[in-house]
Amino acid sequence: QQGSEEEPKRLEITSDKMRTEDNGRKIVFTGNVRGEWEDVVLTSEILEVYTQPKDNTAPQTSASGEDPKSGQELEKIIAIKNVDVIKGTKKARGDKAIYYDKTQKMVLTGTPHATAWENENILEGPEMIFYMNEDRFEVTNGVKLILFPKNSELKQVDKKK
Amino acid sequence: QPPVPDSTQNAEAEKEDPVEITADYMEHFVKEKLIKARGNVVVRYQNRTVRADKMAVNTETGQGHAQGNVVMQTEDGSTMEAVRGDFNIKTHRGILLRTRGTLKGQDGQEYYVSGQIFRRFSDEHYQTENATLTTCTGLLPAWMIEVGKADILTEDRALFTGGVFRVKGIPLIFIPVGYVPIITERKSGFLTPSVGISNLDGLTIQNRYFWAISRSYDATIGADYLENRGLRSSLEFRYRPHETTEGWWRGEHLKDDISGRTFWKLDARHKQVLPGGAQLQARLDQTSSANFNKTFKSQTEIRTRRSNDSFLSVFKGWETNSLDILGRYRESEQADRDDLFGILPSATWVTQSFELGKSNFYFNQEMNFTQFLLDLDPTIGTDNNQTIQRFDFHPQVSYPISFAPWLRLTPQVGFRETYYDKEISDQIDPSTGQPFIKGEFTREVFEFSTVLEGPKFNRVFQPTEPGGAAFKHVVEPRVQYDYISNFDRKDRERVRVIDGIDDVRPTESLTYFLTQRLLRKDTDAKGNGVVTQVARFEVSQSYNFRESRRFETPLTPRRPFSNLRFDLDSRLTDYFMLNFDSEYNVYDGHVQRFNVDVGVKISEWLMVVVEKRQVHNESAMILGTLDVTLPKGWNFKYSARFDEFNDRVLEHNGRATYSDKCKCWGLSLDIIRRRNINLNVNQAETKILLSFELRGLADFDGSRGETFIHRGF
Amino acid sequence: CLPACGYQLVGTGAAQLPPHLKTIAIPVFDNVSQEPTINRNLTERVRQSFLRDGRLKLMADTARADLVMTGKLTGYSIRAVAFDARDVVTEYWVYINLDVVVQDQVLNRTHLKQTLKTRWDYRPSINVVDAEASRQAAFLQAYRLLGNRLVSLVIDQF
Repeated sequence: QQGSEEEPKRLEITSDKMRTEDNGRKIVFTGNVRGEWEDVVLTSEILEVYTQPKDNTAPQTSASGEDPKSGQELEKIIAIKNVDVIKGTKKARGDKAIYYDKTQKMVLTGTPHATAWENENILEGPEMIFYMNEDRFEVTNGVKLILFPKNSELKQVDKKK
Repeated sequence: QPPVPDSTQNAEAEKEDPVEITADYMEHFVKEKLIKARGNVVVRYQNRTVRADKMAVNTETGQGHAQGNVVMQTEDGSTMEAVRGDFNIKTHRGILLRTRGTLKGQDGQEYYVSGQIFRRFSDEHYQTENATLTTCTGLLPAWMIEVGKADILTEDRALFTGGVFRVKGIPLIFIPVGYVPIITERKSGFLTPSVGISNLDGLTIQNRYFWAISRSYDATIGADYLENRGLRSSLEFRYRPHETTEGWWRGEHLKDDISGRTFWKLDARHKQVLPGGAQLQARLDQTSSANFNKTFKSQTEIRTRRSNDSFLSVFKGWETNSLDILGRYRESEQADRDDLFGILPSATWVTQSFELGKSNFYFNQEMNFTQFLLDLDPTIGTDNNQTIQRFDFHPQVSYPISFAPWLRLTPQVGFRETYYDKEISDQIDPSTGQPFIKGEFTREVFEFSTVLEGPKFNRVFQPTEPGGAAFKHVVEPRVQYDYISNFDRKDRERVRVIDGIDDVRPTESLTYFLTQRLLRKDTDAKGNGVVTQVARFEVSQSYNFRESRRFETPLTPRRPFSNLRFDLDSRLTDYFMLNFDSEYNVYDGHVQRFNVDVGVKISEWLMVVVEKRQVHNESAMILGTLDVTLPKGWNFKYSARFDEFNDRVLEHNGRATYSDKCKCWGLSLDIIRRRNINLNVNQAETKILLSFELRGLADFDGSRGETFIHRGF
Repeated sequence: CLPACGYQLVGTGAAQLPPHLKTIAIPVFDNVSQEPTINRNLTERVRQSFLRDGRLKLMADTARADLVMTGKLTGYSIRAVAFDARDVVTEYWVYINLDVVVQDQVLNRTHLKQTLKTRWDYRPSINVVDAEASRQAAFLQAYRLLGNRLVSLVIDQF
């Protein structure tokens, strides 16, 4: 409906097992973990969801993590081992991904490097920081990007060689 | 799975080559399709790289900006450094500001360039502003060209304005507008004028303008100022429109102020492979009646020759046969004669020796039709041109017999039928003073020869130290008996001898050859044995049975033995060459003629070549070259032609050359002193030619590529 | 003293040529020199040299021969070496350069690959017509030297 309060986005997680720790503040999913919210799909071996008491003073920023009944909100999600992130045609893979809900920022790391790709363009770097709401990301500590410029005039310029 | 991040993954042909960007840090603004990279940023595309401290690239448009220590490197090793630069990954266009760099020419020549602005439009098209170019290293280069603006099409030309030619920083020549041809394959280069002085021609300045018409055609237009003689114009046109077709034409012309005569020279070469694999080859070699070559050329072979020589030939070869058609035309270039000799044309079919079945009979033949054109009256101004048509058929059969691997007899019988459409008689028609011309006739010749080869023997001399060369001494005795019938003598004496087909005389002779060879065996890098001949010494003599039976008179004693000929070719090392041949007259007890040719490289910097030729009571000639190479690129050559028989020096040639490999320029000075016997004038000629080379950019050669009489070995 | 001095008759003792090499084919040489048609007579003279030597049998069929000799005449030049009183040439050296490759088709390897250079002198006569006969005589001598030298280089390998 138009104009009604925005429906909170659903964070759907499936896995072989699940357990809670720290009085329910930490939920651990293990085995074929798959998490979906909005157009992002995340898969890994282990997924840890951390919640924190709701901070009533802060403006309502997170549309997704609020739990109306218990006054808890999503603090962060940590995916560990064989982490794959898919968002539309963009994909990324690393050893570990941390998603901070408040800043809408995901940090993907990997050894020797994490990899992100779209079609044939490939990006590699030990640490990638994706700003989900700004459609921007940065890569630090050494980066390699392999780009296939689309319908480039290179076809005309260089193929005559 | 992510695609394999391999930048050389470009497996299928039409797949795009990737652009690889590495850096310490990178930010990617997905919406704006903008990538910002910092720290050791390197962009690689095919074999080209652009480095910078910072870079921003729009992945949609391909447009990029580089900042700080920008270095662009291409696959041939050329590098350009700049403070800033913009470029486009897709179009390869780019602009660099405050650049400095090294461009690699095709032959490895390095060009050092700098410029305020350096624009790249494509692989072949660049522009620069306030740029400099040199091939010299060092803060203060020996020479440098500065230009305000330059537009460069590689493999074509560079156009520039506001040019200044500096030597050690000092501006010497201002070139408001300039044009430099850059076709490295055909070694063009800015043809600067060449300067010379001669006591006959006066000051000479030769200007060349190079015109790169297209990739397959170019031309050089010349205007040479000769102080005493006037303006000599020249045009050379070169073409190579196809892999199998190439050639050039060159014409020179001068109206001589000294003699009032017109000198011209026309040369051309053409080579072409015709359909079916036939090879066409043509040469045009024509000069004015006033001897252009003797007057203006320095190459001895051209100056002193007796005739010009133009031809057109088509040749088709198969495994055992060949057919060729040749047209040839020669005119005398001697001052007091104007005789000519034409082969218009000749057609020759040759069948090489092959075995008839398994019979051990080997057949070969030559069939030739020729139409000659002769000028029987060599006096200047009067001609008596006659044509002779000749058809000749000359089959031969051999039947080799091996007595042992080292002894073999090869008898050969041959027959020759020759038809002549007319006879040019030896008797002179008193009314015309010219030979009588009589009717057609044929000539039949029977010939027999047999060659006894062997006993051949040899001995191998193993290397004296490991890795050294092994030698083999081979001794090859040969005896050859030749017989040519004496019948059809009447017709045979009607033949006007022109070439080897006509020159057939009744013969009965025995010739022996004792040939010795020294073969040297070295081992190349891959361990394979390489056998070369380093010396050959041959003694030969013949015995003429007909002469031994000739009617003898006190004044004309029988002399059946020919001169005893000794012939040595030897190149035992790279530093020593000795060739020697001589003929000893066994009856008069003197050396009829001898040639000795000695070349010695005394050391890396000193070489001497001396050749002496002597014909008993007729001529004696000494030609020598002294070649001294000093450190730092200096080389001095002195050569001379000395007519020992008439005790006078025909020609001195001196050449001083400075051409230090590390330096970017070279200089050579040629001094020629000779007797110029031409146009009924015998005068001493002194010529000085200056050659200067701006390595990689321009080389103008005062000698125009002529080697004079300097020799090497 | 021959055997005592270590000399041996060719074809005896350590045979020079490997046993698998018995025949040779010599197609007409190519000619990229400045002088037309000299390749045909040179080829014939080289064939005659092998025919007279006999240690290799001359074959016409290139495909079936053990050895195939391909030649390319790359250079023809003349050098003036003697001059008369009017500084007109009286003697030339004529130089011929020949690139030769002999391929062993049995073992599919290169048996010989060399550039041979030979020369002979001739005296151009005053009359332009008569010069041709002496020039052709010089060619025949140069061909003889090249032919005999090729026989030795191909067969006297060691």
